[in-house]
Amino acid sequence: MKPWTRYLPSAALLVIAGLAWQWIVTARHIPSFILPGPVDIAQTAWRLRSLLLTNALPTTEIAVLGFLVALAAGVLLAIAIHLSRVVELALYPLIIASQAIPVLALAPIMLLVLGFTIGPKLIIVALICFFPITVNTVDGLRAVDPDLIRMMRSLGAHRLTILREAELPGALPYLFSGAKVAVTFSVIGALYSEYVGSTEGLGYLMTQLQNQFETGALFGAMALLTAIGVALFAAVTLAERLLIPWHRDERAALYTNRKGYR
Amino acid sequence: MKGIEAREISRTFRVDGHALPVLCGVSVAAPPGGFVAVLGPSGSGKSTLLSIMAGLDRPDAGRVVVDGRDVTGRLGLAGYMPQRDLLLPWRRTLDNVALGPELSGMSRADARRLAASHFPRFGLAGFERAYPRTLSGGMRQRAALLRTFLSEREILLLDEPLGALDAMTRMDLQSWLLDVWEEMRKTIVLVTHDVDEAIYLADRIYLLSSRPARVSAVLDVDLRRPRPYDEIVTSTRFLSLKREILGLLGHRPVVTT
Repeated sequence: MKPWTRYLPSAALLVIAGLAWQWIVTARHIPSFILPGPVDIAQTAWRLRSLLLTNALPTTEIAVLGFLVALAAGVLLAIAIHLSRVVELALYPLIIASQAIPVLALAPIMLLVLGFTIGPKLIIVALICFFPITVNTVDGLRAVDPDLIRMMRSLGAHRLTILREAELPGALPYLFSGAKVAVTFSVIGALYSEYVGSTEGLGYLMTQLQNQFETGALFGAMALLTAIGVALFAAVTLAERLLIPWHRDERAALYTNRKGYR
Repeated sequence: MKGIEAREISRTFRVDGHALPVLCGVSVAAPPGGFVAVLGPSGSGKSTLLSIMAGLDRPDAGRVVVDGRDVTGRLGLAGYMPQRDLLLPWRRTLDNVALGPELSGMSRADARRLAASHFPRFGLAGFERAYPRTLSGGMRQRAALLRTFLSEREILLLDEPLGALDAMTRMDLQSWLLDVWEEMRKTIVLVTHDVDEAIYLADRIYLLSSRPARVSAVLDVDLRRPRPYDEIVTSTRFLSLKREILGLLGHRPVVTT
């Protein structure tokens, strides 16, 4: 299969949905401030392209930086939980509870306490994304073959050597599974953080457009947001391929074995 | 050169609140530079004995002695190799082998040099940069054995290192293992449930009964060395030893778990 043909079915589906949407909007004479059609949206988005793009930059920046904060915090938490039973007992329930916090309600409070800097925004994004990273990495650290650890211990390996040479590399594929989920959350998180107390970014722009019934531009912003999310996901996937080539090897081997050749 | 001795080792596990005696006063001694096999039915506690000798588990009674010193529960004195090759999928074959000397404190560069110099002898030349996934079962096992041999320990504890291989590869590796051992001279304790393998490789065989394991017989293998495979395994002495061992095993019902 050629690389680009992989995306053909989903592209076709998108086109069909777009056509259906356009047809409904035109046939029913729905006013564009209630529900604009794809053509209308594309025209509006093109007209407002510089406004959309200038506001997309800070949103992307917050999503990426917040994701990186979540990645660092998530992995460190996972290692601490893995190494210490006490830390696990102390933190795991709180980590799960943290996911029940209504971040939208928390955002204005954090802005009040921490001021109108990038800090609270990053915290909001990180709070939304760290969870899948931590949970997956903990699972990965625990998935290492116990016999491998015994072998290394018998040769006198230090606990941290085992962590560095066996557990962390073994956890990388799990970490990336979590990171892929997290990075798609990061865009939503960045949007939340801009709903309140912000003067720029797509989140801010969208609240403005909503108030002005600029529905076409609103959809344009949403499409742009989706594109950012897909791009970040692709970036993480690329990083995964570069950082764990052995894993791709392994999957490729599994795949060809299943197909019955090789 | 160091030898290793397990003296009167007993070990009982608790399973669902019940006591499960696994080893009952087992004594095994490998003299310096000797090749000793521990032969017994599966589930007889051979692996438990090896774990205890490696210092990974503590016996309820008995001692492990190296060079006249009590080293019970002490790690890092012997190179231990479990049945599966346990190569790290993210390390290339050369780096996997280098892990042995690396864990013994050698720098990465020196470890790689040492490992590379042994690749031809271990039939791994040309596969230095290959990931383990792409190697055959026999090559993976040779890489794992090389890693163990290069761990700079004089004593090696091998837990059915050839158990997962097909019969032909296994034959090849048995005679190859003897060649390597004769060159590199280590004290080896090998656990196996393959009668032929035990006779062909070892100087002395400790026969374990089924669980709870006791040493039911100790046999000295008085076959000459070096041992060409086809000559040795068809010799009258080999066959009479095999008959003797099969007879000893036959007296007890073999219980597998």
